[in-house]
Amino acid sequence: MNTSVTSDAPKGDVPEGEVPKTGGSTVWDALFMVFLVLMLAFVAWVGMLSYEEGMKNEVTKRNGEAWAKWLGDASAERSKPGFAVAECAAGASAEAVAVASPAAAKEEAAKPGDAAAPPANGNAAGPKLWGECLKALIKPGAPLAELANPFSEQALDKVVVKCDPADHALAGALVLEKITTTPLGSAVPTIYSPLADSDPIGQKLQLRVTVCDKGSYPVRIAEFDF
Amino acid sequence: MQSAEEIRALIHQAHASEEHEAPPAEIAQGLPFRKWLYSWLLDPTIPGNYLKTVDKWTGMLIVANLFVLLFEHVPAIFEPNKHLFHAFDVFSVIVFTIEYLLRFYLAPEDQEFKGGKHPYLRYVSSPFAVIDFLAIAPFYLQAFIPVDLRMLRALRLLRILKLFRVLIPAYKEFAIANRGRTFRQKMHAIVFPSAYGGALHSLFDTFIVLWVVVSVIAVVLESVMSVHYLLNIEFIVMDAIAVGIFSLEYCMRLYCCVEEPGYKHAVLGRLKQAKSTSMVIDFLAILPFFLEVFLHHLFDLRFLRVFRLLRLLKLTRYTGATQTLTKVIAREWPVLGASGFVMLLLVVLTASLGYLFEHEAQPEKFENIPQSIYWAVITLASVGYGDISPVTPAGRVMTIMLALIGIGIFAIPAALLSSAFSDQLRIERETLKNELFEMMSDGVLSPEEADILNREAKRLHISEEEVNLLIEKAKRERDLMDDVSALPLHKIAANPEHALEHFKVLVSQIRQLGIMTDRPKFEELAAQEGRMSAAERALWRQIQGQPPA
Repeated sequence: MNTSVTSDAPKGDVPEGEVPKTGGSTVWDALFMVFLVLMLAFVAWVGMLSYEEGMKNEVTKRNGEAWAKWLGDASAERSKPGFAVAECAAGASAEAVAVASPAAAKEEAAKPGDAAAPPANGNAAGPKLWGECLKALIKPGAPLAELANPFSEQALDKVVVKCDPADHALAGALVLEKITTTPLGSAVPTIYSPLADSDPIGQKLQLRVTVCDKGSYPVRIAEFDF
Repeated sequence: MQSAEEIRALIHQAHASEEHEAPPAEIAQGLPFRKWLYSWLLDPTIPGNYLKTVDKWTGMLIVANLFVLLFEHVPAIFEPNKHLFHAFDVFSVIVFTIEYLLRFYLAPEDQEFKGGKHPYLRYVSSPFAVIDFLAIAPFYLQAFIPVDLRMLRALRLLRILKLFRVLIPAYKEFAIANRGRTFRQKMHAIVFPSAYGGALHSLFDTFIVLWVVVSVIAVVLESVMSVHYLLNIEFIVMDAIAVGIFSLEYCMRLYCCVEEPGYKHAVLGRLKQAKSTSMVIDFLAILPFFLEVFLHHLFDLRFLRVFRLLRLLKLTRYTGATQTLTKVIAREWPVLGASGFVMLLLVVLTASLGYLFEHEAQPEKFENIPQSIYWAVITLASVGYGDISPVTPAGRVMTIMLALIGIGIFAIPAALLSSAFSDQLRIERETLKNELFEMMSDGVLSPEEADILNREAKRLHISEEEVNLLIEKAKRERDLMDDVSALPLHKIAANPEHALEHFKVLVSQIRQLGIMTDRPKFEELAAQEGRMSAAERALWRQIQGQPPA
């Protein structure tokens, strides 16, 4: 590409034969240099603001990754006896089974002598619903309790249903969705629906972690088994 | 008067300097090997050797090194491609080492070092050689001493210093050319094309073009979710740097534009410059950055990111094609407007008829006339997505007719623009031809004229061969002008200069006639009754230098 020919301004620069002015800088030149320096400082300051906002997005992503990592890592461990966060351990409680499948719950209850028996994984029978697991994960001293929302500068203790650009208060929030595979021949292979507090987590689940960025737009983090 | 070959050589020289090319170097074969190698590769005094090629590729490798260094800081890119990064580093070091050793070997041939007793030592201690050494030393250093990786990367940044090999000579040339000029004039020479800018102005332009390309690529890549996820912060930093550079350029242009003819007034000149198309584009290229930071909490300004693509328009400053297109549109505006009006009529008519025939059959698709306009435009423009189509027989017949009409009507603006564009090019070529004829009126084409001619020819995409043909034509026409006798008498008479010359030619021819003819017989015939008047005979004798009868 030619980089030195055309200009919107008329050409001719210094007319032929014209003696250029003698060298040196004027006060205006000095003022202009000061202005340039101030302008660059201003751009740098705006750049820093932009960088700080960008870093908040990065922290949000790291939060999402931490959630995805913990839940993904827990996938194999939580079905083993003595899982650290009992509320998130695999194995259905009676209530959870009732919610997930009332018929199976009735069958479970009809078995004589089984009602008081501990679950196969050895954990005490307790609530195996997502809401309880979530509370256990964010309570003080829990694995994910240290994470904070960089936009609100508060603990990341809320999981929202979805990111909504119209609601800027959602910036930095976490969205957890369960992935349900649709029957063969369906128009879409999978359906994503919010993971509700009442969802049973006794069985293996496929989850997706999403975080809401500065503008409350969704940023997909990962899909994994839990 | 110059010969055709001389003029052709001048044009070729202007073309070559415009392209930063030189005619093939003339280097004697019998030189000692070191001298011969230096002449081909590094001698700055021999035009057409490989020095510029060496400088260009080395410069590109340095810039590539800079980008690689940036990407090395992104673990998601660096970790899976470690071996590629290492291979590139090894390649760069090999190239830079060869360059260093070559310069070392050829130092005794270099004017800068050959004067003293120890040319090799003088080379090694020269600033450029020290920079070259620092660029490769860390690589070899790590083979012997364990060096922290971060430290190594920081040391590799020293490779950027190699760019001074290009910058310093350009600056020296600029300083000499601008000696005695004011600060603002110097700034003008850097920013605007002028006779004082030289290589430094070209480097400034190249730098701006590079940043435009880099920032546009960044905007495009930002839209790729996976890339944006990994490089979000890098994109932010890059954008801030780009805006800093473009803001600096914008202020510099605005400050020193008063050195341009037509922009002399301190306030009005700058206002005029600020309103020019290219400056408005420059302003729009930096505006989204500030708006996004300050107003993001009030509005959703993500759409502004797309406006950063406007930076691509900054490149129009460096090409004449858009100016030609603007001229064409301005010239053909009334015709385009008329064609647009016909299109509008046709669209409204088609949409109304579509609604009339199809509304009852497909109320959800042809719900109202505004909704039918979408179908009308898609049909008339021969796009035909097929999401809405007529089902009634009347609707289908109408669609067939309108689609056929649409082919012709919608093609009009394209045809108009195309023919107007070629017309404009023809007009500009004709103008260039006239300018060339004017330049050639004195029979001489000066280097400045050759330079202007070449620049215009380049803008109009006229090849060097075509320029030479035009010059031939201009020369022929000028020769024809010299031989006025070949022109019709009324054309000669139109110019008193030509008339005088023609008179002298005629007198000389009459004199020649008197010498060559059988003069006694001529005199005898002339004396006969009715053959020549007395005045004619007197004139003849006068021209022949005979005393009057």
